[in-house]
Amino acid sequence: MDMSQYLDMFLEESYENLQNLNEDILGLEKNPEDKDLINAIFRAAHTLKGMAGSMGFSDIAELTHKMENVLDKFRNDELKVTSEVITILFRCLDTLEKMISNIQNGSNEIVDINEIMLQLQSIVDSKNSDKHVEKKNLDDFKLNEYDINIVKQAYEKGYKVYKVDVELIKDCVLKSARAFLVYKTLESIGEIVKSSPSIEDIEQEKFDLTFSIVVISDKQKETIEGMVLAISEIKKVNVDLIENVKNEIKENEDKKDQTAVEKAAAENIKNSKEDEKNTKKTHQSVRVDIERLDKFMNLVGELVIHRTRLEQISNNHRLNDLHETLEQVGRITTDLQDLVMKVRMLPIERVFNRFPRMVRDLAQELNKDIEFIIEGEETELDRTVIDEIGEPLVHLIRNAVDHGIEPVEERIKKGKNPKGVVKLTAYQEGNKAVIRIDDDGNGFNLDKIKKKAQSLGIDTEGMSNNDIKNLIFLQGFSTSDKVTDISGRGVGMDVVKTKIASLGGTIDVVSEFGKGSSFIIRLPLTLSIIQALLVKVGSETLAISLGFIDRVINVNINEIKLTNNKEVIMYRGSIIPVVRLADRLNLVESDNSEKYVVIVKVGEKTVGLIVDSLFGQQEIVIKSMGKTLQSLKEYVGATILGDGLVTLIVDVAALV
Amino acid sequence: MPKVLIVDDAAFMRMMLKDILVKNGYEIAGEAPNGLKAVELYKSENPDVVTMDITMPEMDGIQAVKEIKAIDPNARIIMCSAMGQQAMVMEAIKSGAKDFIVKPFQPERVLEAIKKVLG
Repeated sequence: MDMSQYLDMFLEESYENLQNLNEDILGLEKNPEDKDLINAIFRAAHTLKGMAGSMGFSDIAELTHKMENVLDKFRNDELKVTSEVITILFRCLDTLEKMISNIQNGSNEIVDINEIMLQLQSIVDSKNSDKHVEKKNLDDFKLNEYDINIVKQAYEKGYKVYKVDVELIKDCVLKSARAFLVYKTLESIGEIVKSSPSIEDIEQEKFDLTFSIVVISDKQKETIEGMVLAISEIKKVNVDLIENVKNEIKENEDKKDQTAVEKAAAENIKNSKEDEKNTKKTHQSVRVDIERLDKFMNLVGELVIHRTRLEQISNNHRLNDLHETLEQVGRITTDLQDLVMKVRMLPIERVFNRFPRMVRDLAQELNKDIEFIIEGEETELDRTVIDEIGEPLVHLIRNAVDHGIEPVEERIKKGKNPKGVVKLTAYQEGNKAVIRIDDDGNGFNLDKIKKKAQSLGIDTEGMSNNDIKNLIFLQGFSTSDKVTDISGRGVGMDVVKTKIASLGGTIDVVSEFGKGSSFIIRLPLTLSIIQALLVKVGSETLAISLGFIDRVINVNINEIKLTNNKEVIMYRGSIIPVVRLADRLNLVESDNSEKYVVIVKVGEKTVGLIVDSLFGQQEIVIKSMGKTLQSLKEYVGATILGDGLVTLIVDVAALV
Repeated sequence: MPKVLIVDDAAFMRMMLKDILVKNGYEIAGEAPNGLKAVELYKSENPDVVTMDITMPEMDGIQAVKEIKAIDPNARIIMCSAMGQQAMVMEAIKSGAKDFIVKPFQPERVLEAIKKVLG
């Protein structure tokens, strides 16, 4: 069978299961007695095993199988959940992830699983050794007096006694269950007197490929044969009528005992099955290739562009009939946009999920005691943002754990709770999603930042404390005295900022020395279609995302003042620095002395952008600039207006 | 054309089974990701055969077998099990499952089991 067609699905579901495993095992460490969790973990490992086996990835199947053995011990209370075992299980997950990602990347690198397999085996062995499966030789049937009695009675009542010999096919798996199926089938047409090996031995798989059952029935030989053969994986069945039952030898166990044991076994199964019941909810969904969604989004974008063009034409020619229809079309396209936007949204949970494990590992490595809190993981963001935001968050959380939270002794000395808190929060704020990382650690040392700034030749005179703190986002800026594996190499914060800016977002830092720091990331909910203000600078039309705009005011050129060699305006008692768009974008400003100031807010910063005139508000579709124009940092992209004009969209975050 | 209801929590597994069955002339009555949905679909679609995974969220395969058997004592259900689930397969058989197949699936085994339960 060609399996390649299933590969994508296999990979996706495997990652999902690995993620669940990571979370649940983390949870198990906290609540070692939680049976539901153990069962959930077992189930995920089991699913993984099944899928890997089907795909022919025998290494993965083997490893998950070993994991199951360990988990089974938890389930049966044969093994205590210790952090040692948890660490080995985590190592397993890492190995599995590596194997799966190798498959994804088409890499032929073979991950060595021997060591981890041995570790797992040692856990299993530590408590009790593997059950030894004794294969009993099949002796001849031995009926005791009691059995013989039953047989005799059966004859008297006109029933027949058959000896059914069954042989399973060679590669039959789950032989016991297979034999049990035969047993059950025969039981449905009569009464079973005896089996060889005994039913308990059959249940414990203490037999090879053959077994025999003596059954009392009123059915014909052929009927019984047919019924057994209707079970799959049966190689041969032989049904013999027993006539001479006298010269049989006694055996210790009688049938009563067997049924008692059988009952007990059934009880056991029931109990373990009860635990199986699971509480996790699954919701109905369809998996769609992200490429198709991108295409969908793009098409809706095109539709919006052409709708605006049509509107313009209808306006120019004053076509009332057309106008009405267009309004209708307008409403539908808006709905369509909303819909496709929502389809592309995913809960940020997907990204947050991996952090508890990361924080745990880091805290252990650094010998710190940290409580990690996640809130608002259900907040939804565009798929593209979700895919990209993980990396910067990893950086920030690592920083918080490594530099933010102090070592336990230091915290005690300062009179703080020895357990540090790192909190990751997401929520929606207007058309922005906000992600916050708060820690109650040491906070930023302003003097240290100033010193560092001086050594880099940055003048901090006249800068607000807040601006100084934001210097940490500059390239090569690290105030950490020592470079560790985890963070502090000074590459990072600038990369974090650049990444977030490329997603149309902003990052700010708020910190109080000694008390902790907070990083606040604001991201647009969606990337492709935005409301924008169209402005004119000289003869050029530009678009500014409405998301950044606080207000627009009218000023005379005389009202623009100079302080510290920088242009500012006074507005309602506050001083707002201004940026002349014409200067920054190398355009020619008009001579008009009446100007407009578009006041934009980027995080905590407020800046006025000076433009010549306003053109109106419009929904625009952001089109990327393509490779050749990628170096233009001042623009986020371009759009096509109703009249077919291509207009550049200003990257506000890059300008202020 | 006999109709088969496929029950498994992994979409991947459902897809595989579906491919095997459709290629061999079976009709798919429906797919369910858990026992609860399986029981519901059994009622509405009345399939000829059900392939039933054991470990599933919401309601596991064994409970689903019991409930389906309660609705239709003649229901033909084939358990889909993995190695190491012997005890659960037996429980399912006790509850009325007609046969079982073991993952990783071999198409010929799947087809054999289905053909046999259909008689």
